[in-house]
Amino acid sequence: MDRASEERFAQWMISRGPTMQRFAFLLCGDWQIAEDLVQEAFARCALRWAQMEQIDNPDGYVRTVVINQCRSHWRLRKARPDHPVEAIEDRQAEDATAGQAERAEMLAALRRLPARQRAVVVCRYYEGLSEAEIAALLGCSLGTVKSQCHKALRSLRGMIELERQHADR
Amino acid sequence: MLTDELSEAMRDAVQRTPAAIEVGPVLNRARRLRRHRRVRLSGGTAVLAVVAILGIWVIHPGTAPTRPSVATPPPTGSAGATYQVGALSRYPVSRTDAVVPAFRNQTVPAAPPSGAAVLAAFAQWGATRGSLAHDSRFLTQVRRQWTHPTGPYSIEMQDPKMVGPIRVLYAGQTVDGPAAVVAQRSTDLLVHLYVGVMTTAGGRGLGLWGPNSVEDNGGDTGSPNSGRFDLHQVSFTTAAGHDLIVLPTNPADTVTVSFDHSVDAAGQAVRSWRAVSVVGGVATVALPAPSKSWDTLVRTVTPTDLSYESPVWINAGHSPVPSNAFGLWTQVGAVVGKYAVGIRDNTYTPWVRLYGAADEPYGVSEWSIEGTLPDHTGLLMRQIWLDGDPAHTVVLQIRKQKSSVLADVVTKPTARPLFAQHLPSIGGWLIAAGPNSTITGYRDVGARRWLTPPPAISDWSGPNGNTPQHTRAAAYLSANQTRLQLRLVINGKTKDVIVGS
Repeated sequence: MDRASEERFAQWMISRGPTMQRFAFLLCGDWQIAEDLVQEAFARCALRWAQMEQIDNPDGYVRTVVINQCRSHWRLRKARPDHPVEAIEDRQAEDATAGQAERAEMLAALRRLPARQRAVVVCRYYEGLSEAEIAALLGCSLGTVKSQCHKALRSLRGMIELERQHADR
Repeated sequence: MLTDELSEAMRDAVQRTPAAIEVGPVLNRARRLRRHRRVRLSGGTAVLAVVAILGIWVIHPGTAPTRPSVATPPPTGSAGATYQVGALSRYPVSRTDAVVPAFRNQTVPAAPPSGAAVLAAFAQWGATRGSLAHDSRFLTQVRRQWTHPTGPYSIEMQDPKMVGPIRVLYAGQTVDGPAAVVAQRSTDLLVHLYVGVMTTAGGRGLGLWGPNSVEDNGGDTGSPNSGRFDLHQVSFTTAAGHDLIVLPTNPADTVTVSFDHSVDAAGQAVRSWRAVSVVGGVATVALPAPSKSWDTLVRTVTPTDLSYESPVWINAGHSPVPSNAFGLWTQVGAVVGKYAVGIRDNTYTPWVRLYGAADEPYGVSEWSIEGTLPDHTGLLMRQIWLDGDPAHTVVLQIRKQKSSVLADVVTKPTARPLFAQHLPSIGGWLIAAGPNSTITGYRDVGARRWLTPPPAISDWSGPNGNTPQHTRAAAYLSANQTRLQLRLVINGKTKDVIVGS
């Protein structure tokens, strides 16, 4: 990259960094890991910056790279807590309003979804992407996105209900 | 609503501002990656050469793939002594979970197996089956592939709750290269077991399919090539689809297969069955053609005459699609109401049972039109077909997780509208304009004024996923006339048609 390209890349990366870190956090459940993964994703985007400047949706491309980085992270089985206790407990200490426990339950259930289902749910209900956009992002068919979303919601519902049944005992 | 809770939970979780990522380290990393890529490209060739040599070694010489023996050699203990292999596994047969082939007007098959039944079946699987069961190098490769998959297929399961030993259920030389079946337990609340099939694909070495999770509802996590799991047998096609491998959970079971169906005068699917021999707990069957696996049913029959029947679990390649089936010409989330329906594994069963046994393999189109009626029942339209037969455009009503067929027509691909019927039971008309078409108006036959159909919702977007995107590819008309005139725009040209009788 020449200096001008580097500056454009840097500006783009700085503007997208927080969004992608939040996205990666929802996928992997740990802020530190999310930061590492997003840093790696941006590094890989830097390799392709010349092509990325030509495409319509560079944000979609980096989102795909983040998802792939998360998958690689899971494959290599880096240390990952079952539940991101640090994140959840901090939030609970700061804010004890009603509903906090339910949100923590929901987040814990989200962590337990299979990778693709989790990616579909985060893209759908956090990023607000359409199913067609998600299909393009994940490189799968629209039918698969719908199926994965349906199964994810069904699993989440089941997990939440089970947790609440255990809590009621 | 669950999705609202989910959105709120995720937004709440990311409220903190992440630390800024510094540009310098990112660019430095990019430079290191650029250097690393050049090294990998030259080293990769050597890796491929090693795999190719291995492939030649395990495949019998000759230009055409030959079918290797699947007989398991007598195992040799560490002291060199041989010992008899006893029964490979014992599976407790229960009448309550027998699945009798269900034809029209007969009982729907029993509920999918419970997690406990699945675990019991695999706990008693016994020794590894197959011609490579004692090839320690291959078994090591298989276990490494399970924990660190490098194959060409995506891994959907990343479950930290997988526990216990990695069970290699099968390791064998097939006509398309070595293959393996692996299982491992999970302590996840919903998933009891992961089972994966490994085959060699296109000279790229051993690759893992799935793996698929076996859950309480008998489903899997979305491998596009797998059917519902049958704990009485594991079946898969070899990498190039030449052979079908069947592993009856109880090796004393008889295995029969039916590669395809024909249609009798009543429009019912009928099948012929052929017995296959089970040697060392493995049945190897040559497929008439790779695509035939999609229409294949596998039946295992216990010594006490209980039969279990299911489609092939893992198929190579993609299922054939009828010539009158459409791709994703539209995707309507709510042609009526505000929500899409929930599609379950048994949603299509009432239609399948119109034409054959409940376990007849079937396919569905990518496109679908869904909605929620005022009485809160679900509405679903899409094409469905038995493998090898023409596609039908089918309308289902879903009430309390059970569906019923409201309309069923063999799709005429040139028909525009693709579908237009008055459905008295739901109090209106359901219109699907068809590929490259939209519906822009309707009126009584002979009336002067055109009415605008209420727009359907194709999808939802926005930060909460609540902003509807509208489409005119389909419409639900709350009208009870038996004839209507519709105004369509087909390939950019306006056309008025009369529908109904």
